[in-house]
Amino acid sequence: MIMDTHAHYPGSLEVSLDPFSPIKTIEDEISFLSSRGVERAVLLAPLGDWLKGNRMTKETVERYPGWFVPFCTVNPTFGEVTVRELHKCVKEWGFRGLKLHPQVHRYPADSLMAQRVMEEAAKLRVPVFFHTGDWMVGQPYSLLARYVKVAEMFPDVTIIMGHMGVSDWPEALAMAKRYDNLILDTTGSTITYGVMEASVEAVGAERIVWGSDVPLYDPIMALSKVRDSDISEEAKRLILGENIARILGLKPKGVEKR
Amino acid sequence: MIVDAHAHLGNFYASYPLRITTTEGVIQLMDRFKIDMACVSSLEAVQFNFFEGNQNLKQEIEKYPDRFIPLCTVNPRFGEAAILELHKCVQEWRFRGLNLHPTSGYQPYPADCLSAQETLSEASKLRIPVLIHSSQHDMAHPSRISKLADTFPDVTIIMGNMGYMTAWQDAIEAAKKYANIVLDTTSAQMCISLVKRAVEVVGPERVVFGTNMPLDYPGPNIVRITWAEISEEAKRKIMGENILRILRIKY
Repeated sequence: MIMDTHAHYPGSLEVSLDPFSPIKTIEDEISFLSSRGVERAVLLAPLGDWLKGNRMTKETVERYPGWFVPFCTVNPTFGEVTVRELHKCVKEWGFRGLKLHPQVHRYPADSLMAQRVMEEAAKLRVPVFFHTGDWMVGQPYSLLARYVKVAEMFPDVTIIMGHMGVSDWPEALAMAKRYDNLILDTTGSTITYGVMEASVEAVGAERIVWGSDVPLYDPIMALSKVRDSDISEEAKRLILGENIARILGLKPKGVEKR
Repeated sequence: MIVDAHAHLGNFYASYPLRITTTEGVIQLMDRFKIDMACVSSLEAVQFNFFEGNQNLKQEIEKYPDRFIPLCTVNPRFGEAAILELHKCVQEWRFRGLNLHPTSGYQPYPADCLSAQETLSEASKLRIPVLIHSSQHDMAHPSRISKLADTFPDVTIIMGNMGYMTAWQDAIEAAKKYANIVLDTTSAQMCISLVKRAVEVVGPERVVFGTNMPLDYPGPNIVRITWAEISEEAKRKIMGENILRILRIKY
């Protein structure tokens, strides 16, 4: 089973990076993922109007049961509004995690406001999916180094490091070695020769997840990165779906359908 | 016939340690991914000493004359010495093109600076194509490379990485305006529509593919072409025929 850990709801901001993307609706996204052999995905709620976006995501996920596992998007700078939204999404709507994008929402990843949300995530026992960026593309708010503090402060929260620092991935490996609560997300941005082999060598295959960044990026490239690397077949299976299913406590797709 | 328009030989000393640093290692990758030939430039030359790098490249490819197409790398800021090096590489060593990388050295240079223009003027005399690495960075932005294309209409300029992370649409617009620009899809942003859009706007004759071996995995750069929504004929052109035509290599 191939499960995408990094699928975006096709909202306006997400699609703006590729205005010619053939994916405009959630139906387009499902058929595109299917064409690449992907059967299931973590659906990250839109980054723009996130309050409205979480509701849209809830409704979409209900329309396609078995396809998506929803993560809500919240912006910590809204304070108590954020905390209430997070609780509603997780407790009432059944969201399985939350997505934070410090760069898009413009707050430092290790800020006090972000820490407040992390405290709630710890109480709710849900994983947190962070966008992490590098120096090269100039993303100071979500700079990889900020997550050292976050990982250390919240050892009970499973933190998925989206993009694993992009070109700063060697540092992401060092961080994941030191902090057990960090999960490496291989999504997009770097196809550096050896990144898969080095990741498995550093932390083992169990703490690495695969994602595509659909509807921006073509999953076929991300799949090649894993399939054509020199890691074991078991490691590939874990990375391409089993790990994220385990982290989220999902049953196999067939079982859940019945 | 699959021809990789953008690969390297040698070692790299920044960012992360390379897993493959030998020419034999690159040959093994080419065999595994069924790549018949590859245009290569020296990684040492791109980053540090281009005199040594070009020399090493010449020696390395002698072992595999039918697999590699060498490109000469210079730093235009070396002025007359860079021009002499280019002439030697092309006229004595039979290198087939010029490779410029404005942002990889310790001191980046703007792709359209006067010294780069002087180097391109030599490429024009030598009638060789120029592969210039482009990216979203100001120094190597497609808009600067457009200026070179405008100044040297008779030089074929291969826009390496076609804008890399976020400037791929600028790269396509530049190629639309200047007929002497060729788009190189190597390790450009993984956007779903990138290859299809490039073909739609500039036609399949002015798009080439590359792998960036041994810095990047070859697989993703291959499947982005083989899975693109373009004709089989366009794929054949992109994956080999175009670069051979540009380099005037018969096969």
